[in-house]
Amino acid sequence: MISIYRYRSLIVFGFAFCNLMVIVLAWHFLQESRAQHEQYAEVVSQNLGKAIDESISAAIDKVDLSLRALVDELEEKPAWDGRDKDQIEALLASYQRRLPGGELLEVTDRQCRVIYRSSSTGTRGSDCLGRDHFQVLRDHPDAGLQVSTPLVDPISRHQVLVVARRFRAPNGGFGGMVYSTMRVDHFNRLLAQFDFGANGSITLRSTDLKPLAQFPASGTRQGQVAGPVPAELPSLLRSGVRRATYRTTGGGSERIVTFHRLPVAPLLVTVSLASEDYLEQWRNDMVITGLLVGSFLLLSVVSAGAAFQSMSRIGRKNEKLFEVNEHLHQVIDEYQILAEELRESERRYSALFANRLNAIAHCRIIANDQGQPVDFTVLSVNQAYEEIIGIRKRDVEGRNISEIFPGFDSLGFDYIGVFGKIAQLGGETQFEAFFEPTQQYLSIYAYSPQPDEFTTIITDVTERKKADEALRVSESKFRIIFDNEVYGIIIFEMDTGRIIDVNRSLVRMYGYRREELLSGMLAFDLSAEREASELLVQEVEKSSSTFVPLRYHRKKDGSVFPVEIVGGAYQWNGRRVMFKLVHDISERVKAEEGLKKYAQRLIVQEEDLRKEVSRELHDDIGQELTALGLNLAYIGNLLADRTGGDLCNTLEDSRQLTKEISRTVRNLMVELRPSQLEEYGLGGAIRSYADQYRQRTGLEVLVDIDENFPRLTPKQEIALFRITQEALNNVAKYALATLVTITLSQEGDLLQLCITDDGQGFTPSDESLQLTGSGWGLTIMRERAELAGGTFRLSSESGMGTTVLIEIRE
Amino acid sequence: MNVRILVVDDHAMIRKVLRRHLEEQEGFQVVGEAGNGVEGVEQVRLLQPDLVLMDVSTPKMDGIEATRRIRYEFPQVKVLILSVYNTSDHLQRAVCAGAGGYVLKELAAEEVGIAIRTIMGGCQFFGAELVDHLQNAEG
Repeated sequence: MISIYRYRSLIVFGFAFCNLMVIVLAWHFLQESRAQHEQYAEVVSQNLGKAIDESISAAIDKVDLSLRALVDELEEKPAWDGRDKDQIEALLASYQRRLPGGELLEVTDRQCRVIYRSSSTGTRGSDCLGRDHFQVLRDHPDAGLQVSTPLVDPISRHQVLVVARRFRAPNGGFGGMVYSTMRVDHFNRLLAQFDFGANGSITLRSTDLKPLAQFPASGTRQGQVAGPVPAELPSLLRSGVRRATYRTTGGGSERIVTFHRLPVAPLLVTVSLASEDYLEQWRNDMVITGLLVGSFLLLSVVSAGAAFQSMSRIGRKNEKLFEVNEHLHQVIDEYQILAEELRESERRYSALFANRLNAIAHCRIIANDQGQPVDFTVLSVNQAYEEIIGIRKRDVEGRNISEIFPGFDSLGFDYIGVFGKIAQLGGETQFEAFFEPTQQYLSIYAYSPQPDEFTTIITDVTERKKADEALRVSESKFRIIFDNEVYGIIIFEMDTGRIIDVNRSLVRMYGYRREELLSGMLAFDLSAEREASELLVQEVEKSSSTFVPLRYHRKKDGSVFPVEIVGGAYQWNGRRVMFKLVHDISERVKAEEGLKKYAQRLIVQEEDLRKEVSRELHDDIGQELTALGLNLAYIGNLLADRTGGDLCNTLEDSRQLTKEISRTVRNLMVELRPSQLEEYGLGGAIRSYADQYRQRTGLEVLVDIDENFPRLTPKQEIALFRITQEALNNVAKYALATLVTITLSQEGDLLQLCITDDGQGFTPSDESLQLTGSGWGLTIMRERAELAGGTFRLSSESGMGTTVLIEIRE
Repeated sequence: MNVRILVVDDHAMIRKVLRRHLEEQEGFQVVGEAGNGVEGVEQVRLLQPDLVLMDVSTPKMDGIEATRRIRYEFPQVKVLILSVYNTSDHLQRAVCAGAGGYVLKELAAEEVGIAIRTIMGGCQFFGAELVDHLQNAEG
């Protein structure tokens, strides 16, 4: 169908193209032909001009020849005067007869008076004809042939040209001139010899452009008037060129004109060829070509019409053929598709049946008398059936399901009913069920390949079910965690801080509505320490999780409260997000502050107690022991005088014991409350304690305290002294150190106490410290430092010793 | 000729046993007693003793300060410090205040007599045990 239309279009296009090509070629041919004719006409025109030029020049040359002969005669026979005038004039007449178109032949003297003339000439007077050429010949000894401009012969009334030469007198001077006249009519005859077409013309003009001769003669032919000077001529003449060819229009036709300036005479020849003449042949050719092209076009149109009709007929026939063909192709295609689908189906079925992932069982339903399905027979199973269901193929195939799985009809799921419906009514079904006999979760797809039969494709989804269950439990746990009543949970984008999700606890904690939080608020907006909050995000970026024991956040009502934060980062939906578990620790902080106050009160009370006990020891026990010692000495002296032996020894032992007790009491006093602290200040107390410590422990102690270290407030002095005591005790107990350095200094308003040892050190975060005396000691040190208005810092590293630094800014 | 001694201690019992301990020894005469530093200075002005046996820790004015004043006003009066403290700070302060000797109280029975005689002989006295202790403490 389509191809016929296309062919028809092609034919039409082909014909049109051919015709167009023929027209173009014909046009091109005609243009070329015209150009050639015009070029030919130009050549003809130039040749004619040249020929005329030569003809006229030849005629003048002939006259000149006679003149030369006469000049020779006159110059070689100086005895002109002695000759008979008639003889001379007969000679002139004989020359004149030989001249083409010669009117007369005359000889003048040096005053231009005619002294001889040919016999045939009439009597015109004694003056020569024309004076211009005479003057030239007279004034220029080298002057050659002179041709005058056309003149009117006063006798014959003809227009003539005077052709003259000078001759020398016997003395070598100017003797006169010999001249002849040539009738312009003579040139008309000369021009008539040339063929320049029916409409062409040749014109002979003087150098002042006056027409002298023309052929055909003016007025003899319509439209060819020699009178008006062609517009191009004056400019050509002025340009000085001797010959030229140009085209012009005039008289209703194009003309090719050749212009020639004669070399021997002041004459111009113009040869004009009319386009009617030189294009006559071309016009004939054009007519013939037109006829041929027209014939071709007509013929082609007729042929195209015939071909078109023929094509249409063929097209109609082809349409039918195409329809039949198309239908046939469709049938074949459908058949091939069906065949391929069948093969694919078989292939899939085979592959399906052979696959090891799905158990496949092909079964036939068994119905009772009422047509109700009551059982089914397993016709065939694949290999995967054995592996998935766990029953050998041979124990299954050909047996009823109720035999394979006794009690099958009473399972929780009505398999027989479902499969029976599929087998009897067609269709397909897909379901998942827990199969009690094998304790498996099965995904079963069933369909009926033919009536009363069905095929099941069984997939063991137990693992997935378990995973789903685990996921569900996990989600449930997550939900429990997320919905907890204690920790606020916030999830936000790490890049922008934009909140993505929050739980109810967080909403309650901050006082915002959930919609407010999720409508573009930033997590940092909840913090009262925004910079710290942003730093926390950077920290989590690096370490992926973090714990912040104390941070202050702000509620919607502006109130600030302390929180404890656990944060972590993870990927969620392609975004880097951070979650924070926020615990409001207001109560804890409050309790801790209470505890802190309590601890500090305890410290104060302890100090008071120590002071009291120390005073008691000093004032009472110490003095009493001193008195006791003196008394024992007194008694000893008395006894020594009167007795001796064991009693004295016993007394001496008692004295020694008293001294020991005194020393112990003194150490106890120093430990409890160094008297130097009140008396000499912190520096003295520390130095004194260091002395005692050195003695007691054997450790080397360096004390760097300026002698003029100022007195501090009693509270500060006792706190710093106690911290020093505690730090030194810790060193003795745990550090395994050999050197302890105590530095006490004050620069400006900063007071620093630093106790450093070179012991084994420890990890400050070691939880065991919290449970030991050392841990408690650290806490007490911190409390004491804070009580004195300072800060406590402990730095230690395993193997690198420990440093305790107290700073008080006054 | 007896050495005339003034005992300064805030504990009466200590004063009492010291008096007995000193008077028991030949050459010592306890000319007076004082219960605190201020009283001690006044007693020195009044009694002009040869030597003051001064407790370090006395009320109103401690023994070191009282020693400084006595030595300032009466350079000829010697002072022997009695103290329960064995630290170099105490000793140093006592010496700086002008004390001629320093005896630990628990060693008073053995050292007080020797110390008084040494000081009165124009020398200073620091008990051997105290010196040992201080040397050990200095490391």
